[in-house]
Amino acid sequence: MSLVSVVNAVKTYGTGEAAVHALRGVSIEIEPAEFTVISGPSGSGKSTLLNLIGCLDVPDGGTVRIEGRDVNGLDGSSLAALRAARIGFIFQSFNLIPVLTALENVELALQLAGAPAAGRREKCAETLTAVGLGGLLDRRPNQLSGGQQQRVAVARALVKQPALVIADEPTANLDSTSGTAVLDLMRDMNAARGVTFLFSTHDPKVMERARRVVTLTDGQITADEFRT
Amino acid sequence: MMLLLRLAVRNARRNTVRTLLTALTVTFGTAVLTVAMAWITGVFGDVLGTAADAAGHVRVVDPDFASREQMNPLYEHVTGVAARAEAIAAMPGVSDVAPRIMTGVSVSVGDEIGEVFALAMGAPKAYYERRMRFDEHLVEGSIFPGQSPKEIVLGATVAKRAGVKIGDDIVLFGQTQDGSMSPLRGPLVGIVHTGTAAIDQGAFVLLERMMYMADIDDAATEILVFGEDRDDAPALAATVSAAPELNGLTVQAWTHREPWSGMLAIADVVRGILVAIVVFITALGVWNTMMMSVMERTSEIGVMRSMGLSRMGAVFLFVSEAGGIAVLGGLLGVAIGGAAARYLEVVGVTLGEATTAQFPSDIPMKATLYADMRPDIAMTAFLLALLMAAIGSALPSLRAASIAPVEAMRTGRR
Ligand SMILES: Nc1ncnc2c1ncn2[C@@H]1O[C@H](COP(=O)(O)OP(=O)(O)O)[C@@H](O)[C@H]1O
Ligand SMILES: [Mg+2]
Repeated sequence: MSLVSVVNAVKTYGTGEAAVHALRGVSIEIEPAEFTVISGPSGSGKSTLLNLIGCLDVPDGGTVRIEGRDVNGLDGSSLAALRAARIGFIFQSFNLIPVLTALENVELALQLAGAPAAGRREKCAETLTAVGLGGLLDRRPNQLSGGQQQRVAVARALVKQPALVIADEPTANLDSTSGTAVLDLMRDMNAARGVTFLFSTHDPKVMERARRVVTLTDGQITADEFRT
Repeated sequence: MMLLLRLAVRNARRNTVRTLLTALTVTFGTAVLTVAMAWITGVFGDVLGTAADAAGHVRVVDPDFASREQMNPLYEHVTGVAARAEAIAAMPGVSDVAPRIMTGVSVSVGDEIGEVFALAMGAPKAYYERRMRFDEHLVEGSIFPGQSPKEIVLGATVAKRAGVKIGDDIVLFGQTQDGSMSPLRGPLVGIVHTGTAAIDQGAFVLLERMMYMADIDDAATEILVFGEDRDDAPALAATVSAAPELNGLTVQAWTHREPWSGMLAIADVVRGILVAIVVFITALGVWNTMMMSVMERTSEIGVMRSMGLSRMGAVFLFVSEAGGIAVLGGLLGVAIGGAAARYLEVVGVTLGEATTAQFPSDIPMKATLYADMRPDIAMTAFLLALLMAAIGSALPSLRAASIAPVEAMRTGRR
């Protein structure tokens, strides 16, 4: 069974003349432990597709299955539970909670995933150490560089040991050095922990590191190549 | 939950000035409510309390007397008063019992019917001392010194109009229970001035003299019953009315008698309107702040929702932030309002007799009014501060709850 199975997904924003056909029948399968990039120009529907796969939104047509479960049949709280337990997110603008420390940001994710309080902090500290932030646990986001913030975000996504990590243009707001470092970190995590990663990007550096590149154009998949 | 609570606290400190201003709005609202409630309780309590002390915490009358009270019908009396009063006095919670008769009389020095009218009262001496507090209001002479059972005390207004002085032999012209003319002659021994129009307009004799004038034996139109605290009157009425000795009679707590029941209802309405207005305005302030916070944190809420925060979790976040603001603001408001109310309780506000004289005669208005700052007022004001926060944060937190998880992604777009 595929981890993710999207069949003929359609998503339209707005109606009538103003309607934007963000996805026009997209089908894609993603297997566990993949390191896949969705590439394509701005406005091609990358974020929309990630929203559907991340269970943040539901398609207007077609089906999205996560580990075999059709998300169309799930209500808001079941979707929330599914996200909390199985999916980690990394965002373009980091999106850490500014009033929480690095450790607390990670802990919040674990708590929202329903992890028991015992051992939670230790686990979060370990994960932060694994992403190279062992000495910065008590820093607030505004006391961290962009690259460091995105590492916290990686730790936040990984700490609950999700089946899938979704990253929407994770390097777009980073300079190339820290962008590369964050990418390498994610590849290491993919290799070491077998976590499935799904990115969107139009950054060639990211595509270089991917093992599979799916190209979206105007809401449709126009290429899907595996690399070695 | 602890982490979410910590987050709410830190969120409150994010925009310190705004949070502080909101807390101060709550402080102001709570302080105003504290002072206002203490003032209403004090003024109404004073006015009504004086009345209740004079009119009996609980009163036992004939049912027909109760329905035609304005006319003071002497023939609708309670018989066997001595025995009944004794039985009531033995009941738990009763500290004092006073049979009383009231009727209209004219006051004169000679034998003719005078042109000065007064409301005459017959009651035990202890009642005049303890409940009417005549010793505090005595301006001349003394209160029933006991040289003669026929002694008469007059209110200052009546004494002045009739032109009588201490030692004069005066006549109260009234009626017997069946309507015959009935004079009551006796020496004027004291003049009282209470500042309450209805009492300064009165003539006072001992109970037995009034029975004699009304020609009723061992009977009175009312039996007044007093407990420790006038606020316990309804409970006392329940106890008293259970007595077999009082079968067929009407037992009423002062709070259920006109005009006080009506005035208490007015006090409740005034209080209610005031509370509603202040709570609403303050809630508006809280609403404004919380709404801004929710708007500013839309993407943050989206991120947390994408990580599995439930709608209730989002509500909790903002309600506890508003709650924290309300607790701080409310405590400060109760402290400030409580201090102000305490000042009004001790110092009071003097209206002067020119103002108080304009009140209807059955409302014993005092010249100086005091607040009554009670612990339950502080408690109520504090709970109202929480209510302000609850109302003010209701809509914003619902809005927060409606933020879709995709908002987390949207902020990435430029
Ligand atoms: N919430 C929305 N409302 C209306 N149009 C939207 C919304 N989100 C995306 N779109 C439109 O859908 C199309 C695809 O958007 P998106 O998935 O964000 O593309 P990408 O991530 O590849 O840049 C774009 O034309 C965009 O303007
Ligand atoms: Mg995008």
